Amino acid sequence: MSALRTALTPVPAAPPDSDDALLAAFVAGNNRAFDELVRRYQAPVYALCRRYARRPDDARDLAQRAFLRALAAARRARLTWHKSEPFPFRAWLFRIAINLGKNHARDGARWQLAVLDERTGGVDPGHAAHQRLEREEAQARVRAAVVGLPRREREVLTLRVDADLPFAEVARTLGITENNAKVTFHHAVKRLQSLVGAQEAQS
Amino acid sequence: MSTCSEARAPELAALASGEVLSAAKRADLEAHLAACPACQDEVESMASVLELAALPSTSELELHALGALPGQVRAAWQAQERVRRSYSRMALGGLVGLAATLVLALHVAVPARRMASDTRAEARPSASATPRASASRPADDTADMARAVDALPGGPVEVALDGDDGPYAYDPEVAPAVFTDEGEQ
Repeated sequence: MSALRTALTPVPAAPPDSDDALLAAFVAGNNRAFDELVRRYQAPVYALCRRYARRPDDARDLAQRAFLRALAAARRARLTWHKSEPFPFRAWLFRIAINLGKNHARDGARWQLAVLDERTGGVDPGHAAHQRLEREEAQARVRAAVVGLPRREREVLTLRVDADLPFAEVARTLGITENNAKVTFHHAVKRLQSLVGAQEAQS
Repeated sequence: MSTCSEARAPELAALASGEVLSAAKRADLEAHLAACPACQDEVESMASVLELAALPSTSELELHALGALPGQVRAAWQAQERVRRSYSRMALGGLVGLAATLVLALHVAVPARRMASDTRAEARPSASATPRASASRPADDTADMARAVDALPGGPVEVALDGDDGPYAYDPEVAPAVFTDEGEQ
């Protein structure tokens, strides 16, 4: 009965600039809506992809594939989407980007070089050479450890740190509570600390 | 990790990651950190690891390239759509071809089958010319012939074999008397 009531309840029209309205326009063939959807999320998606890419070109390629997959999936899924809430395009897009990035890193283990290549220009030139080298090694270890984190911890950490989403958004994207997202983030950081500590002890 | 930092893990995580906190929450947390060195160490340790984990900021070159991303994605989407449409057309063409082949096959196969069954029916008498089968054959032929005669337009022709009123009855006066007993004598 409640399902029937839900089905009969009129879905409120989405605001014209909402993801849902843009998706509907995109499915109808509106190129401007397509561009707006990509522009809206290109920065966080690109930031998520950078974590797993060796070069900026790789990250851009990953971001492009993430958009293509998410848009194709959204077009298919919207045909059968009967829930009262709007279609969660952003959550799909971010998760697709993370999964594509992880697969990319797994296929080539390219992130190890990426970290060193990208980081060289950003280090404070005032540091002594050996201090800079030590720091670069530590960064390489931690960044490698981020890619190797358990899936949920990695998702929470990269959405918060790379995509710069607040915890409330991270929680919405992953379908968990905000408190759960914060606790998972805390576990992820503790795991990174212990991994780095163990590696330092070994070296 | 102390029990205190475990209990406050969500707040410490938010603070260490740079999450914007409400003024009330921030004031409460800062007051606690001032009185709890364990939690303070925890936040500093987390922040230092996160600093190492963070990627370098996006360069100008990357930002410039990122500006072209919508156009690139749209071009890739349109190319993908063209491929998808051509595959759909190919699939549709394949289905139509398959249906046409099926119809053609039916058109060829059905008459051929009918012809084969007719041939079998025609070949049945010679094939059944065994002693056992031939025993019943004359009766069938007789019945067929009777039915055929009955179906003639004028009905069955009356042929009198033993009377003298038929058209081909033997008339001794008309018939030549070549072989009469008198002539021979």
